Amino acid sequence: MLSTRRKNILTGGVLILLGTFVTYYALTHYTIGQLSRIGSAVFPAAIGVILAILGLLLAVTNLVEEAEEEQFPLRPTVAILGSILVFALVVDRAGLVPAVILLVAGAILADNQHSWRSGIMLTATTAAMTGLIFWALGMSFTLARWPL
Amino acid sequence: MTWLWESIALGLGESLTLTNLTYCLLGVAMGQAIGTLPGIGTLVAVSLLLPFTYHLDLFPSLLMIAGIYYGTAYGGSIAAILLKVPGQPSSAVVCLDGYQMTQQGRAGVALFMTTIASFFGASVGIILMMLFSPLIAENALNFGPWEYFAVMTLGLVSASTIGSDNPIKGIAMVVVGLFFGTIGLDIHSGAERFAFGYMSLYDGISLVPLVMGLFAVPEIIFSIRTIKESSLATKKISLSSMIPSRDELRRSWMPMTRGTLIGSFFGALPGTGALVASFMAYATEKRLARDPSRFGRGAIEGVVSPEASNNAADQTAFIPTMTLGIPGSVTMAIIIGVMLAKGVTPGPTLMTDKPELFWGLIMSFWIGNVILVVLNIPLIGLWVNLLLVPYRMLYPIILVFVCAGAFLVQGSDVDVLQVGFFAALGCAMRWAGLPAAPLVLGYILGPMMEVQMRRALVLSRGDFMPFVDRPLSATFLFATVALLAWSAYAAMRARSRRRLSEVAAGE
Repeated sequence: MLSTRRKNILTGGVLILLGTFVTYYALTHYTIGQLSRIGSAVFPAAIGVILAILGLLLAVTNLVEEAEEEQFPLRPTVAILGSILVFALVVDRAGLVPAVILLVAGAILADNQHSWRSGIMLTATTAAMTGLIFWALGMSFTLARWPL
Repeated sequence: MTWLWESIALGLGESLTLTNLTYCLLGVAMGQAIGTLPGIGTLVAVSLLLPFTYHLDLFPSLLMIAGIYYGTAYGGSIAAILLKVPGQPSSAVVCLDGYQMTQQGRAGVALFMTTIASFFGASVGIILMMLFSPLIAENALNFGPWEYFAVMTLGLVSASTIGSDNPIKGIAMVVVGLFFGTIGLDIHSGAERFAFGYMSLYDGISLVPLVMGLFAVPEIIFSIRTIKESSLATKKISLSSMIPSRDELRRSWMPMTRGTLIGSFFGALPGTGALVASFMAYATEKRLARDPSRFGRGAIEGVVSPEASNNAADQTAFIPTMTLGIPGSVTMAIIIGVMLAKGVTPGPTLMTDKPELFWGLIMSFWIGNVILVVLNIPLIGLWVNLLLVPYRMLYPIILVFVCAGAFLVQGSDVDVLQVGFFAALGCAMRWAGLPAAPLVLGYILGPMMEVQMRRALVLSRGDFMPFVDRPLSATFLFATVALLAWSAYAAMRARSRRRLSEVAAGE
């Protein structure tokens, strides 16, 4: 566990990097124009500068925060972000229903409160319901495709 | 006063059609259901609904989103009273006395009185909106780009600093949001910005994956372990148990009125809203009470005042949104985002250009609130049963709605990948203690601010002076600076106070 203080220094550093990058990229790639007709670079460049200043302020000031001591939920994060990614990769190739099955199966792994039985039941019902709803709405999406 | 009656008639004509009534009913019922369930907030509900609005007209979309928004305020108190778990953050304070009432066997009365208080608060909020919106809009009609830029700056700064421990974080997230808003084609020159050659970024980042990723997914991830199954103290709420005694009614009037006034004020102010309003209302009642020790032991005043307050705040929040186009909260920003996506710009001209939309929406609030009273008094049993559904069954289904919904908008897996990206960002931000709401506000207001800034500079031929020369613009900017100075002062004072207490503890 990092302290709030260290997290803020780290966050400030990331904001400084992002701000510098945005300003640099905008000024080198887009038009600047004149004051009476500013180009597309000016607004992002200004944003970048402000962001870097705020990042610096965040890193150097040590403000009191009522930080909620919450344990970072590693397993749920990995399982759920992973299953969203799998859904995105599968949905175009294999269709909606297989993607939903994988998504729900992955989501269940985020938690250990499901038995095999209830997990399979939930996955099957959700997939069937999604298929049914999309079919009933008349959406022209592929529900399932085999062979890939 | 004839304009008022004419407007009411116009609004009723618009909102009383069968289709629009259906969407209003759907919206408030979904809001009620989602408000009842702990762990699923208003924003999750609104973001789940967003994909469907892409296939609807503007008015029904607004009816549903608004219905979900104020419906959750009614639903939120049920779990607070029966389980001591707030269904919504703004119901947290109702737990204190509401749950005590349940333990004393007065759950029915608490549920009945919160509904009455909610309806009362919302009604006053709507009336204020009807009376004040035309006034504000009329005065804002001569806003030039300078005033718009200044008032948007004020809105963003107040929304990100008020009520925050570390205002730097809020403002930094607004600026990150402004950056996300610049991605895509520049409206003025047609140049591509920060798309890095990806065609899918040329249209910019869309609202749906941003909101779903930043709010819905992290909320699920962080709730999985914290929401434990709870058992209900009372399963049956009979209608006869809901009738309050004469004494309870007599005690409730003044707290309800005071709560409503407090809520109406904080709702219309950008940056504060239902949550702040409900806490302020509770604190006020406790201070005014003849016997403050009754609070926390089932005092009816502690239940009705915050509920009236948060419902009034939910309604008056629409005033700055609709008359100036300045959202005070993320839900309001989303409403503006949906309007912009359908080619309607909210602002002072909305009431003259599209009066049927404005007054139709207001009249639908009345209808929605009446439906909510029906849902909450005769049909209360339905929602009590909903509390028995365990979270482990709910969250996979919400996740399916998120992914399938994002996919549904354009039938493209790019949107789902964007959900994944913003979900990862949202989790990282939660870890770092960065608020997500200011980011969304910045993202939605950013493009408008840039347009106004560029227009202002063209009109004044590159001169920045009109921003401080024009009285209204100068007032807004001065208020912004004052707010920044005040929050810096407050944050520094908190720091020195902690130093002092550390020194004292060390001795």
